[in-house]
Amino acid sequence: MMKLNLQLFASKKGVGSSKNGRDSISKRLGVKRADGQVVTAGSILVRQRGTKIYPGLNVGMGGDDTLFAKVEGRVAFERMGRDKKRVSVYPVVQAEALEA
Amino acid sequence: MIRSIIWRDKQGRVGRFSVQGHADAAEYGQDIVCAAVSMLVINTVNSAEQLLGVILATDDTTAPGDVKCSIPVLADQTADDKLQLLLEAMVLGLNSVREEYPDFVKVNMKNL
Repeated sequence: MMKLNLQLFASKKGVGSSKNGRDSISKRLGVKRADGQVVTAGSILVRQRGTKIYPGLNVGMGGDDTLFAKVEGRVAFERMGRDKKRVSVYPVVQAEALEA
Repeated sequence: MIRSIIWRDKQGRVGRFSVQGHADAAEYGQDIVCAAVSMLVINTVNSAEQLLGVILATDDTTAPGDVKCSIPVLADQTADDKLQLLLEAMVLGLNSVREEYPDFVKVNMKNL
């Protein structure tokens, strides 16, 4: 007798089709200007989802939580409280006074 | 592509048959052409054994995608006619599947 295998003449065991294999288009998030870098007003400093980094002095936040410089100056990443970070922009004169 | 060969003797009796290959009509488990051919072949083999007591093949003598059977000539003419009828029914079915799915099944007739 032969066992009733209705796939006796089917090609080798089909690999279960994986239900994965999809991904959304990457949004290129992250920090766009480094600490100490001089930026012009309107420059985007950080692309983020939610406030991983908070806006500090002279920094605005867009609707998609993007942080941008409101004035020309030097970028400074600072700690805020125990476990938060913020980014500020100090106008060049003020930045040099801070360094002195 | 499933390739089946039917060998006939001078009297036109089916003396041997082989069914080999893979239909590749769909993924394993969803291949309806393979299911049709499998059913035809397996049911013929099992019917010969259950109804006529003639063992044409078993799971041990066959492999996935590879069934070859030699058909004995039965002493009892009536039983032999019945066996040939079973085999002709299988050939008819194989040809029907071939007509419907020519890309996946081939049936060749040869002389013994």
